[in-house]
Amino acid sequence: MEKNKIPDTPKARLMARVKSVLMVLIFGILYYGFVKLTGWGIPCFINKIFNIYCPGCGITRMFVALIQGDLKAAAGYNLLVLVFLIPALIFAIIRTIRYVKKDVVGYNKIEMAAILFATVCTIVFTVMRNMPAFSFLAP
Amino acid sequence: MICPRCSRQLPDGSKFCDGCGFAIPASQPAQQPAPKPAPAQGYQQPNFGGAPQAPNYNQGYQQPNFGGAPFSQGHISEFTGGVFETFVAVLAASLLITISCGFATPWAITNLLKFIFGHMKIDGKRLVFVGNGAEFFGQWVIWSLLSLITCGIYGIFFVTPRLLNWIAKNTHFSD
Repeated sequence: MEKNKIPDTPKARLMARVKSVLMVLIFGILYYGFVKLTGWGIPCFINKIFNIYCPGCGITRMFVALIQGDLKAAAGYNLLVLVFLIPALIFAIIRTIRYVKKDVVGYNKIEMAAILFATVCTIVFTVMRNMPAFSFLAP
Repeated sequence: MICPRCSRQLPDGSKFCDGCGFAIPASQPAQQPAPKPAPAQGYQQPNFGGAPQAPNYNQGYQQPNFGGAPFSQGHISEFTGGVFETFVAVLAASLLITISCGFATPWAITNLLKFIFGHMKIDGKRLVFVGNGAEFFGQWVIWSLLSLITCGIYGIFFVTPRLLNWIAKNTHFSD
């Protein structure tokens, strides 16, 4: 891989971020097409090895159901990611704007609090979805 | 002249101290060594064969010079990230990797490295990491597949040096 130049202008930083987002979208579209055609998704190794549901289990099926407009099914596959999807997008947009404008890579207090809150929710969700009483949270 | 920090005797016009590496200000005039004190009555100062010199009790600690670039004030190497902020940065990367089942690992690593290097100073110069998650993703997929095929052997032996090489190629000194 060649050595990248420093993105020292807002335009360069914006182009770097746009490139990243486009790559994610392209991969997402290709992967969605693959899943729809074959019905196969990439399995969760934590589930295969330890036989427990990780916080990301069901995320592929959740996105497929969401793209098809089936919100109820999407919630059944992975409620955590569905609920945090829009806040996470807003969080990413705000951080991208700060990075493009001011080249800031650190976290302010609100962002730190948000990440801690998301971590606690993830841990609680993971424990609950592996309990028989909350089997509706399992994919 | 005398070094203002460690009081070592230096030739006139020296720009750096030979002992501690301190950068001598250009405006500092050449200083004469302190005159030797008059001996007390009855005391004969021993003559060891050389010209007698006054004792210098202000020498202090002399930082050894290892022959490289002289140490100068302002050339500090440090990590300026806060304890809590760094913890949260690592947590955010871990969360992203966990929730995405590993898909977002290139972006998580890239963001974490941007944070780490963005808060790092080497010899007073700040580092900047310019790696992009998008271009790293292609390599990451190949490394993951190769590791899967070889039951982890490729991952253990080859991924680490390749990853470190990519990190090195995308790290600069910020102006």
